[in-house]
Amino acid sequence: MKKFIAIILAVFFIIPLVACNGKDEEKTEDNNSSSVSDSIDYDLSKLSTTMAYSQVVEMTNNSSKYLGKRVKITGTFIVEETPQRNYYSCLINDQTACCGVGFEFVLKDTSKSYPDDYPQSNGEITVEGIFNRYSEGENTYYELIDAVLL
Amino acid sequence: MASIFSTLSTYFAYPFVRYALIVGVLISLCSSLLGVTLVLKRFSFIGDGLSHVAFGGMAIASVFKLTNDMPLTLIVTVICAVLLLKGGQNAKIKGDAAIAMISVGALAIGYLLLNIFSPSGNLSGDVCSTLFGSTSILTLTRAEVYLCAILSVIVVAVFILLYNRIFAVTFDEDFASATGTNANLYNLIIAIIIAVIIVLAMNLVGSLLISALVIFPALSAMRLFKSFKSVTVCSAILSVICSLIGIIAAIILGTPVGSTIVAADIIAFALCYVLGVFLGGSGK
Repeated sequence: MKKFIAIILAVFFIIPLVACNGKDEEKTEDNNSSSVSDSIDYDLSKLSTTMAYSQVVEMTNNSSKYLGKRVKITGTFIVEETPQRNYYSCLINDQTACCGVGFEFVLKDTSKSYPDDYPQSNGEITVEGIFNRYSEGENTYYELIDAVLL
Repeated sequence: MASIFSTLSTYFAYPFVRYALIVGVLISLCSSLLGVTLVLKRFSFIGDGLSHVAFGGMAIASVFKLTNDMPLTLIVTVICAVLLLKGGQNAKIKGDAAIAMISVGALAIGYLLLNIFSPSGNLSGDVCSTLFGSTSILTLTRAEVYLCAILSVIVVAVFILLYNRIFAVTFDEDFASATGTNANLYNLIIAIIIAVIIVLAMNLVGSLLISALVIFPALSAMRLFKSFKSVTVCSAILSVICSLIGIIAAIILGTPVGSTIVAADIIAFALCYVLGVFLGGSGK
């Protein structure tokens, strides 16, 4: 009897994973079939910070699914100034405030310059752009190109 | 209310939310089953101790830049769990002293290694995330979900199949040995299962809060029921419900997942305590 119960429980636990696998494939196919458009594919600004943080991690872990998609994100504006160029980022902190994830962004309007045409550093911003991936040396970075500050 | 359901239906479309709910339910179920045994054997704080050992294992894995830290963490935690529990009632260094010794030692060595070798640029972030598990359960890969599910099924199956012997070893180890039960073997099995659960539970609530996941459901159930089986079943139900509520509340309200689950467990304990006093149950 106990072995029967154990087997039933094992089947019960595995079924949800199989079911979820199918739905993930459907969602992937739907996302991949849509090309770059003006409508927002992933609006992270409407999600709670926990959800937005998790979605950013998901996008960096499985970036191929999200390349070319239009993303809108709300977070903290971070500037890193280097001799070669400035890096502008929108960062989301997790709830313990010790970790942060986010994307760089490159404005569509290239005439804008820092600091006059950009928000105040460490202030809250909302930015929308096309999700992109690039490499510098051995490192891979994620950015929003053709971005617009809202 | 309608907006909450609308928000939930939107959130459930995200695969990582479904993964978190599935793994959260499985982990809370496993931890609650063994929680009753640990509380009765006066090993309530072993979850905390072993989680610190697991932190040390993760630190070693990070230093060696292992892609997947779970296997090494599991091995280290299992070894320490065996050292702590296999001795049973006749261990030379008993219960709390042994747990404290191994726990603080592993935590200190782990943090020392991370500081010296600095595998990532955000050391405090990595440590904090491991300790409190704010969004770890929401950032699982599919492979990690499958691994958690398989290990959880094994733990539940072992508990069900060996229920009578675990019961005997929990309540009277010497009597169990005298009647032919290999108490050392079952202490070893319990130790391995606990180690597996601790490593899995770190993804859900982080290292510092694992004890709550193990203790609170068992203590809540003991306020209402007397028999081992009733307490175990009630503990499992309470743990699963509190985990579900905690995860859903965390993603809606934007709070840390681990702390929210523990808050739900505390509220459940308070309710069970009041109910137990009111019903004149086993809360004395």
